[in-house]
Amino acid sequence: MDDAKLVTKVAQGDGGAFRELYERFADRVYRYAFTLLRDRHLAEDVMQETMISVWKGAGMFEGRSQVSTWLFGIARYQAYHARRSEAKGERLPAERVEEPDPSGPMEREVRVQRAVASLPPEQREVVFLAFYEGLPYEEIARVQGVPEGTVKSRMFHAKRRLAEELRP
Amino acid sequence: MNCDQAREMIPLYAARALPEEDGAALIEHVVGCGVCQGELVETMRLTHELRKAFAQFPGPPKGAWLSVAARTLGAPLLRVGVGSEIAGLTLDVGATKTGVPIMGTLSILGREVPVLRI
Repeated sequence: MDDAKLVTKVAQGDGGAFRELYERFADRVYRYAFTLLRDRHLAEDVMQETMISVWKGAGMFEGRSQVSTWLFGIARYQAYHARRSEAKGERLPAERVEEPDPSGPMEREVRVQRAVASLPPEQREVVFLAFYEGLPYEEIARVQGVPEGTVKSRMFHAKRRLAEELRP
Repeated sequence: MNCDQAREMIPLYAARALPEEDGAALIEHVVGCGVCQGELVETMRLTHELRKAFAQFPGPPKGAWLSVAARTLGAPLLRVGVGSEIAGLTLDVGATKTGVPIMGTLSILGREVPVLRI
């Protein structure tokens, strides 16, 4: 069953369809939230709140974008609130990501991870959505709520910065 | 297609997000353009490395579904039962935004009677 049909069934209150949707997207939403927030606890909160919003608001999905775009849009909104709550001190101090040891045979992988982490959040997000999720610029623009040209510009700058960081 | 257009498309091609028709046009350009060829090779390599890097991010905890299910489908987080087929007691521990409800159900000869709600 395709994703959009699954959302229709969720809108009708089908718990099995909701479980299936969760299986398809929870991991992707979590990784996306982690890309935005760089914090495991917040990423889990965002993933859970996103899935709960989907359960409550599946009827609002109009099918004008991919289901993944819709979900990432909700997750982005939840991440924004999670970050604001944390800034206000309403949440426990975050457990930050441990930086891996850059020495040894994994050096290149570690450098790539560090290069990604060093990108400004909006550029890191574009890199994740384009390279990991394979979303076209048009869909990324919908998720970020910006014109397509802004996405292209963020991609250009992100690529240039990654190339600089990863230069041998 | 010119080089600027090709460079916009290269990341999408590398991420396999480019429609087939555009991909064919891109390759046609790249075959005859050494600069874009180098850009494509470099981007393909970067894409491979980035996908690996993102894949190494931690996934969600295994128990996360139980919390989501408890707050949407009303499924219990934990169910503990004692007794036999004739008579038994089941305690369901849930989780909501406002607390951790505990519900007890007594079953006698197949009939279930709620006996506890905290």
